[in-house]
Formats: sequence, C-alpha cells, structure tokens
Amino acid sequence: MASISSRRLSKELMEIKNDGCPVGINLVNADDFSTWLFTIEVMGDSLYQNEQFTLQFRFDQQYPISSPAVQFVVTEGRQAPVHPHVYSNGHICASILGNEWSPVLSVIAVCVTLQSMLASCKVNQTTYRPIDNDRYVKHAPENPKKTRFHYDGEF
Amino acid sequence: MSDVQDPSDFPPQSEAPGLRLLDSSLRCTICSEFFDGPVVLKCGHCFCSLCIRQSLSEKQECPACRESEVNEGHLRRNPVLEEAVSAWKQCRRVYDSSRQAAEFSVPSKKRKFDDKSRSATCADSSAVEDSRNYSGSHTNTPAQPDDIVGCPLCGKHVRYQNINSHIDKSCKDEPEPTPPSSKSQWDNILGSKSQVKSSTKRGKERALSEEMDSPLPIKSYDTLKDKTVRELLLEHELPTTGDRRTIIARHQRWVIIYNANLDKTRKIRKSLGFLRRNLRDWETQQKNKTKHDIQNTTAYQIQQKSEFDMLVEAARPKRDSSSILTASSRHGHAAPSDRSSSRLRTASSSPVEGVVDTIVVDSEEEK
Repeated sequence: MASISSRRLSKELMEIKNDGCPVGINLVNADDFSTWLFTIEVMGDSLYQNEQFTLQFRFDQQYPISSPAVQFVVTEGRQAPVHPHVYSNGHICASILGNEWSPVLSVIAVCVTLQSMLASCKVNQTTYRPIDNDRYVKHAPENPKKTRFHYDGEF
Repeated sequence: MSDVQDPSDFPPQSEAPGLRLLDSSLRCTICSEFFDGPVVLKCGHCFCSLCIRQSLSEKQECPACRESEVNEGHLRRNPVLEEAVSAWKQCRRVYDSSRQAAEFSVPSKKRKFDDKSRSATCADSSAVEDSRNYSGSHTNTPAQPDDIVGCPLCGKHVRYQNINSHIDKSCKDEPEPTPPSSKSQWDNILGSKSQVKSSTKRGKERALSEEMDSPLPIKSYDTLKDKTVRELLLEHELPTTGDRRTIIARHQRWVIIYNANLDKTRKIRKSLGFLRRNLRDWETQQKNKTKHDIQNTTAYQIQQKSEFDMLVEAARPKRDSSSILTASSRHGHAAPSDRSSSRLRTASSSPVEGVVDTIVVDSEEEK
C-alpha cells in the first residue's frame, strides 16, 4: 500500500539518486522502505580520518511524523565510532533522533548532522565512550527508539 | 513507484529556471506532496492540515522553525495557496502532455508516455491521493471508490478503492485481520450509509453531516470515562468496539481527519462516509503494524516454543533482573508508538524481547 511514509521515502530516494549524497555520505542499500544503509566518512582534519562507518535507518509506518531508528552498524567487522555520544552497540544519543525530531527533517539531514557531530569531536575533548556505556549496552533494547536518552551537552 | 511525482519531473534549474523550485515550493515539507488543505502557523510556516495536526498531536511546536507553544487553535486556512496548488496541478498535466507530444520518440527515463501507461499512471495517482484523503479536480477517470473494476492482472472483480492494495498483495486478497465484532460494526456503519441518508436523523447528526463547519474540540481523554468516549464515537456514528486504548485512538484520529477536512475549500471536502472509510483503513493499518493480542495462548505457546526456550536460555544468567521483567510485562499491551510506555523505560531498563511470559508479540515489523 502506498502509505504516506513510503511515498515520502520514495521521494527522498529519488532526490538522492538525482542529486547525489553530500560529500562523505554514500547510499549502500535502500531496497525497501523499512531499512536503509549509508556509509559515512568525516572529511578533512578530524579524529576519524580514513575511517568509514555504516549507518542504519529503520522506518515505521508513522515516518516522518515519528523519527527513524538510527544506529551505527556493529556487525561483520564494522565498528561504531568512539565518541562520547555513541555507545559501543552503535546506539546514538542525539536529541534530533529522539525528542528533537521534526518531520521536516530527512534521512540526508540526519546523516549530515551525525557527520558534523563526529567532525566537531576534538582531540582535546575526552574522546571516550559515554560514561554509562557498559551498563547501557548490557541491557539496551534492540531498537534504540525504545530507549529514553537523557540529552545533555551540545547535541 | 513511478507514479510518485516530484520536482525532478522537470528539467534542472539551468534548463528551465524556476520550474523545479515552483514545484517544490508548492509541496508540504512533511509529506512532500502538494499542499492538501494548507494551513499556516503563527510563525508563517505552512503545512497540509492533516500533516501538521498529526505532528502537533505528538509535539506542540512548528516542525520547521521549532517555534514552541503552537497548537491546533493557531492554525489558519490558506485558501489562496490552495488555489495556486490546484492551478499548478493543471499546469503539470498540460506540461506532461506537451512533453509527451515532444518526446514521443525518446522514451523518458522516468515514465513511459504511450497512451495506455499514461492513463494508468493518472488513475493510479488519483487513487493514491484518494487514500490519503485528497482529490483535486477530477478531470480524468470517473471511477468511484465503490465501483467494481476488473483487476488488470488476475481479472478478478475488485472494488476500485481496493485495487491498489489488491495488486500490491500479488492478487491474493486475505480476509481483513480486524476482529469480527469490530469489523461487522464497521460494515454496518459503512454499509448502511444509504439507509442512514434516507432515514431521518436526529438534529445534531444532521447538523454535523450537512454543515460540517465547526471543528471538533480536542478532548483530554484522561478525564473521560470509557462510556463518555463511546458516546463521543456514537455521536459521529463510529464503532464503539475495542478497549479503552483503541476507542481513544479512534476518536483522536477522527478529530484529526475531521478537522483537517474542514480546512479544505468546501467544494473539495470529503463526505463523512469517506472520512469514516479513511478511519477504518487507518485502523486496519495500525492493527497490522502494531502489537496484537494472541487469542489462543496455549496454541501460540506451543507454536513458538523453540523461540521461547531460546529466550529463556538467554535470560537465565541475568536472573537478578527478573523483577524488572515482570514490571515491564504489565506495559506490554501498549503499542510501540505509545510514548507513555516507552517513557517508562530508561536507558538501563531491560529489552522487551526478554519477556517470555507475556502474550503480546510484535507482528511482522520486528522479525
């Protein structure tokens, strides 16, 4: 059924195919309207030089009213970036994926935001996992949308 | 998906300055479709009435600029934009046919332009628009949602409004998964439409169906008893079946689509019957995608035994967290979209998948 979510996603996909992704972001897989995969690299001088991460988007029927479930892929040898807002299971603590989500945002907008979140992580900052990483990863739900993150800091 | 129109149907800015921009500026930034009953917020941003009402029911801010403390009362209709959209839709049709004439020898990479597939495309997109509660000026296919048409693939006779989903299911129509009680009530309501029309109605209902002018108030359901919610549904000839969560969701959605319909120009407004069908379709879709109760628990346990055993095994080392599990199973009946239940789980809470004794499961979605 051509629901609103799949129509909206097909338009986003068409735009990606026509105009391409922003630099450093590449579409890997968008065979259906439930899961999309992107690779993401941080361009220029950063802590993540020459590293490539895979980002997974999962959409439900309420998209874009409800946010997509976004996380880094940590299977098949892939790693989540070491960042104070990224858990080692790939879950991301970013307010735009939770209570700051807005239906006018798009998949590409989320990619760009996460790319800049990584890019702005500086050497002099403590570049570790979130402090509660071990505790969270042990009990984390499979879907990051089921977690209620407490947002602090700039994201 | 070739029936999905978007600004890239037009040549890029360098070749046809403004065409793509015009097309995209007449689209809602939530659904990316042309504005359907456009409304303006106090910050000046404009959305389809249905889109922004859904968004506001989740969060009371402008999706574009995050202006806070906006609510449904701030929405103002934008009939001028609505006219511009309907004029632009006509322009698109003219553009399509002139391009078809100009490019008949060069097949377009996006669409085929022989007559047959083109008319199919038009019928298709108008059906899709119907399903999201919109129809512009119908200049082409006069088929009505209730008309019986032959399926182009299997030849079976199907209602026009169901033809898309019928084809999507590879011509295998399955019975609707709605529980019989609710389904039959829907059938009574929708089927008896003609009777209702001819019979004399009570004053209030007549006022509702004939004038449809004042928006419905948004209720705070927490203060209402089940009985009151059912009465509200009855007032609008809607089914009263289902538990508290179902009837509240039904009434909430009804208020949204009813009010969104009022934000359109009178001549393109939908009938109450159409809105009721729209509500039923929405409810069916919700049921398919969210958690549902298992009727026969014993059979289900036997059927899913291997999976349960696996989960029990996986849960064993963490015996100490069993108290959390039983606590969260009480909230297991809430749909995943139910914000209140997800709010109860903190970053450290246990995954729902660990609950082995609950009789609520995720359907397709999570598997």
